[in-house]
Amino acid sequence: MDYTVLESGLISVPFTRTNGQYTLQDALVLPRSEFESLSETEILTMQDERFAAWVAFLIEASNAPPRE
Amino acid sequence: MADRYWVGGTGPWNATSTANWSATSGGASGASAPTAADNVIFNSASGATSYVVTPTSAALCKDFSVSGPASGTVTFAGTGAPRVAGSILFSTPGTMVWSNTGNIILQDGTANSTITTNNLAMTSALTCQRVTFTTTLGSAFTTSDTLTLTTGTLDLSSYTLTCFNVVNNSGSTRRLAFGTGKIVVTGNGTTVYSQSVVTGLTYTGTPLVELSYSGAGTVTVNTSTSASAALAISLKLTGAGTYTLAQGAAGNFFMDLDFSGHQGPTPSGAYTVYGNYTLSAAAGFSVTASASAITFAATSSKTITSNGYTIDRPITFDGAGGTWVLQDAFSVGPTATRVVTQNSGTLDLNGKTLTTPLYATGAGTKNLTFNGGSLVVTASGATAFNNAAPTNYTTTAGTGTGTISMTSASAKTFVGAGSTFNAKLNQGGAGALTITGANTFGDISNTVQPATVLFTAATTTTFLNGFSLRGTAGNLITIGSVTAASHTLSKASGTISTDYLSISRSTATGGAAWYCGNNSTNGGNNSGWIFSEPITAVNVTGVNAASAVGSASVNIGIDALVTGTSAATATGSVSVTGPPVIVALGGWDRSYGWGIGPYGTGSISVEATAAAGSVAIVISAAAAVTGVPASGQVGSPDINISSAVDVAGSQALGQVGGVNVTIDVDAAATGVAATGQIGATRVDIDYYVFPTGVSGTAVTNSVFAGVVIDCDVHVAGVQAIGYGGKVLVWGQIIPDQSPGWSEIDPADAPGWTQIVPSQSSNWTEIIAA
Repeated sequence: MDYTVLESGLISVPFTRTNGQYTLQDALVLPRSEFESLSETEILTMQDERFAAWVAFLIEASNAPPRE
Repeated sequence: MADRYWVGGTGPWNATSTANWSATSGGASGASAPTAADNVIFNSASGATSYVVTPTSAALCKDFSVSGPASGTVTFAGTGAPRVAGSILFSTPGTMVWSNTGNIILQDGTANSTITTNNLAMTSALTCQRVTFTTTLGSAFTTSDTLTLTTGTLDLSSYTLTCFNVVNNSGSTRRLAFGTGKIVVTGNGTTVYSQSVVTGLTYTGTPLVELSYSGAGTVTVNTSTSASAALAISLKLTGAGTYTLAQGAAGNFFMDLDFSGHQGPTPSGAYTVYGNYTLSAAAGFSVTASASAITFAATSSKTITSNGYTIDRPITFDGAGGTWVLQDAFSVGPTATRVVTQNSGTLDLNGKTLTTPLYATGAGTKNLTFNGGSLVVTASGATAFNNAAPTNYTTTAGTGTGTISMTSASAKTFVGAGSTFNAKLNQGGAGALTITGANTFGDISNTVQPATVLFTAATTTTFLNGFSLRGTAGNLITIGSVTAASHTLSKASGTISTDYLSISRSTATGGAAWYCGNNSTNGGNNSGWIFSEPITAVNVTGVNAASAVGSASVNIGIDALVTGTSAATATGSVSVTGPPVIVALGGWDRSYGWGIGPYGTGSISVEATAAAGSVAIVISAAAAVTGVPASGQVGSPDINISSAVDVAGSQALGQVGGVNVTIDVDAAATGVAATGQIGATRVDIDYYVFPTGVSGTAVTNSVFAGVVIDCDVHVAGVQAIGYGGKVLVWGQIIPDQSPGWSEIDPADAPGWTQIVPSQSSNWTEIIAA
């Protein structure tokens, strides 16, 4: 799993998720201690959750009444 | 500069309250409210449980860092938001709630900064009004409110910035650096992306803006009317919305314009596309009909994908150096005044069909490349196809055969303006097709009949590959002139074969043979047309006559290849009538006597055996002659050569009359021999030759190698063995070689010319040295 150590010491794990309609380009930015406590599966799960939350946000925005 | 730690849980964040600020993590409150030079930190010591922070618009900080409380969440609420002069870091978004609806203003601090929200779903607007320092995303950023870029640089890096809408029209110096990131706009009911003022604006990276709205209504994009590829965003409609995409103003421009997820109508105003153009494949999608043009202005290679939808708008291709490659059929119309205009750039049909009511060229360097594709012009009138600006207009056939088809059922005109069209012009509609200009076409054809094709009088229309106009019985294609004078049709070579034409005032020329069949009508004033079927090229193989047959006969009128023709046993004859053009003969097998006279080039092999009369070959062109034997009681192999040939292995065996090789040109004759009771072996040489191995064996009449004229010859191996009559080497002796020489006639020395063993008992062998 590719990650970057930021100048702040935080760990950045960039990822891209798509469902064919929407594509999210994001990164998990974590303290090193938290990053090291997580397994790769747990990180992937966090990425999936991040993407699902974002898609839900888009759908919610689409369902909102038109803003005039 | 100082750090300010939030303590005490719930409280306001403004410019004056000290109730929740401490100089240390978890320390006593009472520290001064942070300024734009102070970092603010929310951490686990900020509250034991969930708490709420309510910023006001007077809140200030440098870096803004948030992690969750010891338990629960930290909520940022209210309608005011802080001004931030440094970085933003939300390291534990799972313990944060952002319901604040204020406007986070990014103002200049002392260094470049990063916004890392870990894609926390926020509700605040974000306004970038830094001047000096760059703001870079450290993760995806999402808000349900507006992104405003007033001044400074916002760098998306590789991340997604999601917002309701984008306001980017300040007129101040500002840069939106997309990198490999993008902006996703969720908004509707308003202008969701506005750069109506492009003054001061710079884009870097690949500017991609996606519209994710999936509802109804109207979504407006305004990219200004100051068309510029450098300031063009790529717009992609990813939401499966039925909304109407509107323009902020006619004349907007885009890089890529991708409707692929859209289910509603497109803008109706004029707009320019510098990049790829993709229509939606979804049901409900429609291209709004409009008299406003869509202009494709690429300056590099781009694609156009229509997904089966028709565009009822004028289309203009106008990009110097640009190429547009059709990915599928591209249809314009049905309004009859819609025109596809090529001003500059290359339109590559790429094997697809471009259908348009009208087609025209405009000023600029332009090219129409077919690659097997078709341009179908559906409208009628005097300018249906209007090459109005032929200067710097070229067409390219590419792979396959392209077609320009004029399909109107009413009269229509192809204004060629003298250009070369590397395609086939097709009369595809019942209306008369008038062609103006001295044009060049690859071909011309028709897919309807009866129909009329009229050429301009006193002009020459040239065809490069063919002339395929052809009617059917009772449905003739009429060829004529627009006025009462003749036109000229020209093709450089080949044979044109057509039929069912009615031809008037037409001069067919150029070098090709213009056959118009047996069913065409000569309307008069024609020249060059041959009103008959052409003779078709054939290959003839395996013509055999066996046993007691009369004859096998092959008559050839044009170029042909004849192989395997043979006659065996008591056959009357095998005859190949030499054509007026080249014929190649091979594999002759003549078992009895015939007189033959094939001529031509290639390899000729003729053989006569048993009681044959003679074998004779007359060669009038360059050829190699080998293996011409006569054996048994045959007359003689006789070869007359008047061209540059090599003759080898001509032999007479048995009771043969003789072997005669007459050479009038530069040639080599070897192995000419007569054996048995043979008349003579004779090589007559009139030119520069090398006869070797001319011999007579046994009861031979004579062996003769003679030089008739004054030239260099090399004679070797002329010999007579046994009862030979004579051995003669007859050439010219130069007087300078022997001043006392004078010509001796054989009659002057009868003992010299013929010596037989009975005349000289001591004679054993005389070598002519």
